[in-house]
Amino acid sequence: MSRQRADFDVTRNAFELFAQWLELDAPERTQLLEHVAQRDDSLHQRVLALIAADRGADETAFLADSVLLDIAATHAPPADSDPGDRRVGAWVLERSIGTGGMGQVWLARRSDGQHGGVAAIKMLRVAVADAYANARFAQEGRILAQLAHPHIAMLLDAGFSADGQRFLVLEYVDGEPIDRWCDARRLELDARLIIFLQVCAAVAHAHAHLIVHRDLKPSNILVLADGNAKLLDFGVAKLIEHAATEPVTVDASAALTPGYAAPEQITGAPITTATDVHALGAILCRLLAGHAAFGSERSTPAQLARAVVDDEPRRLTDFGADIDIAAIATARGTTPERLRRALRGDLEVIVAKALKKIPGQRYASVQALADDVHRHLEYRPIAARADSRAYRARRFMRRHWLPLGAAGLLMLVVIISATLIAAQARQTAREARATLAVKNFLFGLFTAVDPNEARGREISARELLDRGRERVEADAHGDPALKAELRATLGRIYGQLGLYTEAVELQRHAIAALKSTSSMPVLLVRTEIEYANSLREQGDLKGADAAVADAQQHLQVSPDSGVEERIRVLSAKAKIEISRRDFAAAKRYADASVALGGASPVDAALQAESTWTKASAEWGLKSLDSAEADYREALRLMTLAHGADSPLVGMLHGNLALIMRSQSNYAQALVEGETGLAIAQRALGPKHPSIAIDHANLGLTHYHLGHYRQARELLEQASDVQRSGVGIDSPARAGFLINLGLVLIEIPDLDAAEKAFAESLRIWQGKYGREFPGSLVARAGLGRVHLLQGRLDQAQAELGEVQASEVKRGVRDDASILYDLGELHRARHDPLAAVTLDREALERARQNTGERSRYSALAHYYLGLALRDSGDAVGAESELRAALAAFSYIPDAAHPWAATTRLELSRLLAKRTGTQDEVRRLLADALAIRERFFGADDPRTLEVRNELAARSAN
Amino acid sequence: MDKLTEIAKGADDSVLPADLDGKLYSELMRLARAQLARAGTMSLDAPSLVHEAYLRFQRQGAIQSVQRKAFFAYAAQVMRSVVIDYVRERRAQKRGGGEPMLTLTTGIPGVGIGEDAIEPLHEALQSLALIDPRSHRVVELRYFGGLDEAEIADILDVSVPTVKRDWRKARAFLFDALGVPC
Repeated sequence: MSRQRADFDVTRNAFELFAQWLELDAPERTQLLEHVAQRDDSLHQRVLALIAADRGADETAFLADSVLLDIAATHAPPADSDPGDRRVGAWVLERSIGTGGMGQVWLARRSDGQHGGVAAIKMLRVAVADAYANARFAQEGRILAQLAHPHIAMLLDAGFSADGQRFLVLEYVDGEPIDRWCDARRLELDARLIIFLQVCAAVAHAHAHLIVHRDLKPSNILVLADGNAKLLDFGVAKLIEHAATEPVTVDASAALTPGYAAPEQITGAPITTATDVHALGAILCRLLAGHAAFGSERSTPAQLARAVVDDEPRRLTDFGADIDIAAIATARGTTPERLRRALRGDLEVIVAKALKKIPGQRYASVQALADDVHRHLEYRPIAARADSRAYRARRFMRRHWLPLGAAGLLMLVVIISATLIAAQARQTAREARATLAVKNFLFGLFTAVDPNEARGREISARELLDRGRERVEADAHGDPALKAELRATLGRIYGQLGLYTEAVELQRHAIAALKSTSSMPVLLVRTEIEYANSLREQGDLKGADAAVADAQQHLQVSPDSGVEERIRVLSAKAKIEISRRDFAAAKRYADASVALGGASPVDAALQAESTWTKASAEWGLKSLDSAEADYREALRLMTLAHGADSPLVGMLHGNLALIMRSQSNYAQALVEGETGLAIAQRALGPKHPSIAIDHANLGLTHYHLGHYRQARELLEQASDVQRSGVGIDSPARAGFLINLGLVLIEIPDLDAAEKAFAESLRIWQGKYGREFPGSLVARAGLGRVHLLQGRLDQAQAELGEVQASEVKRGVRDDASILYDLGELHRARHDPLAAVTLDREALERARQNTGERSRYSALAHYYLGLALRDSGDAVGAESELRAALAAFSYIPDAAHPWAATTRLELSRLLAKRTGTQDEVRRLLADALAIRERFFGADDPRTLEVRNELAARSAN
Repeated sequence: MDKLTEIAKGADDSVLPADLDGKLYSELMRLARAQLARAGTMSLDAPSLVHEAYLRFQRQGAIQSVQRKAFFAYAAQVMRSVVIDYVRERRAQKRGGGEPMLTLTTGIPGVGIGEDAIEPLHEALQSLALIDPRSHRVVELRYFGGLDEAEIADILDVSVPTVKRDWRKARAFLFDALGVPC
């Protein structure tokens, strides 16, 4: 009894405080509530509940009608209602489809029988048409009139009926509430997020018109059978500009549906767009985790209101004992364990940020919330997440679900991910769902690998793809449209892995199926373009032309395809022309695709790709300046699309480094290479396998510049990172070891060089055999080491075998094997044989890399020495001077090998008279270079210094 | 009929005829049934049943114009009893007949409270009577009696703003007590 008495006292006290609260202005109200909160917590909660109830009652027009009308509404089910011959403007009311405190909603048809003229007509009940209700109804009409968005139910007409009833004619939405729609279709989380993004777009549109909805909840978001969401009911929406000029008081009656309300709606603080962000967070919680963010299913509005103000929202993964997680997981096509795993992390963080108590701590806009959801779908790092490197690296690994390990693969997965997402933006909901199914299929495929067994990951990726293809082909009863999309996607991956035979096969089947279903026109065009790319890579340029022509034709008849497909077609044509070496034609197409992208709001990533192609065409035309400018533009766009930390951005820096190398601008090439490396390290941390390729590229630039110590350090790092990240047998590591061996020869550390070549040979021979090009390069490296060590028989056997193999295969791209053999013959005192080999080497080097290059310069140098040894001093001098000229690809020919060339030239000239000045100048230059590259105390530096001192003394 | 009418008699007895009780109940119940039977085409702006009953009784000479205020106050209480009885009767029928519950899913904000919420409302109103008797009466006169704010102010002998304020307080109390599911 005493307990009931106490309850009653609290209730009465709360009621009295609430009565006081009603009389106060906003600051006084806050003061009162704070005072009560300090004094008595349960009393405070009771008062808050009454304040919430006050608004809830107002918004739901609680008791607005007399009791008989309420009973009558129950009596007359909407479906049974007979509107008789009621007409409203040009509309005939067919049947009631809903009743509310404010009025009634009717399904109506246009009386003039216009096609498709079905609408929902909302009538304000005369009985409740007080000034306030009237004003609010009119306000709803004004607000809706401003909004035109595919995901907002449109206002078609408004006015007064003949009997003076106010009405709104709205787009009729024959849908289900979003949560029920998703559950009924057992939609997976990603598909739910895509529908949620539609809602975000609608709300963002309203916000852009300074309209806050204030009553977002699942029952106000209906989803049509085709998967399109429609936001309804702006009945309590508010123009923000009013809120900005006059303080929002509680009497302004913010919406209140406690389960989806924000704290400020309950406490009477100003309502802003952040209020809708909170509601979206609560809706997202419901959609993803199936439970309420606040309270439980059995909470009363008062309890809910208190929870919204005081309690932390329930975490997504917090399925209490009262929640049937098994049923929730089933409705999401998954198991409880998987659901928990999927919800943990990003999604939890996103929902928690949207549900912050303080509006300023929530996402700054609905767009920011949508952006994070989008990032999550792309497996990119979300903005709400702590800015930790470990987190970003994890995201990267998840996003690029193909096993990493080689630059080609890295590029491949980035591009797949980028294009998938770009395509999704414009796909129909049907296509978007199929795409998700495909993504999940692939994700399952690639994550099924035990990382411990994934040695030599390029190969395992291939095996996985084959496994996926078998699975698709074996599934004879699957959804044909899904199968077509799986084929198209697998074809895309095979194509990007360079496995064009498989790609062409899959894409051909996919195209045939897509042509017959005609339900996925965008995908059809995309696949035809990719098919064209595969054919082009196979060298079938006519076939590629035909495929692009098909794509172009389907593009013209498909209303769903947009400017992005037209850009892709032009890009594909440009690439075909590049393959034809018709760079002028390529540039025309590339220019057109870039111009088209510039004129329309396309995805920055797509525009970056077009610009990238344009730069390549310009490179082919030898317009290095334009190419450089366009690579820089592609870089800017790619940074815009994927952020400065994206490895794609790093790759573009790498391309710029290549341009710089082509322009013999090694210093700038170093800068670009280092930038690319820094980006990769920032994004992935220093130990990530894909860092290795950046280390190696930078190391090679240093090698060309003669910076052997830096080159050694970088290449050793590359090899180590690759070993710890991918495994000791990584083929990429074998490649780095070859480069390291070449650097070690220059250092010189011949023992270490021998080990590096031997290790490289072990890896490649074990994987692909002795005749594999990589194995041959390693064997040639061993031959050169042995030559320099004076182990001539062994060197001759090794170099001879490699040369024989190259002759057999008709390979002519390596000049160094020839001058190495020439040096062997010179060491065996057969300079004439050496001259023949060195001349051939020079011819090859000029063809392959041009006159001004390391290989031509070295061929000149070795030819000079061979001619000298054979007694042709004039020929020798001429070749050594030619070598120096060829080394001028570096300013002032400041290269260690150019120093050696100068030393040899000075010795040759010293035998003649009248050359003393030039001899001293050559020696001085050589000394300066060796001091710079090797240090003042290196024996090679001392050798030159002594010679210079001796010549000067003469 | 229950103790509500007893309270009413005690509060305002001398003016009304002693036999009004039974007659008024029968008349209001009859009017209510008639009106609810026409539910689909019910005129939304028709005068309330209390007004209708008053006119009828006045024409029959059963009541005088000067008794108007007392009659309205009393009739609203009777109307409340009529409604509660009617709803209970309906619910008993429904249990037998298995008529499906109505669910309203519309875009319009909120829905009027359904038949099933009327009994809980009646109970919550009894609690309110203990805490704030005047606002309890405002609800009775407005929601059950169908009277407007000016009439209520007249009957309770207070100003219209006071009626508005009492109404708002009471409405919040009842909304909270009912725990209308959202």
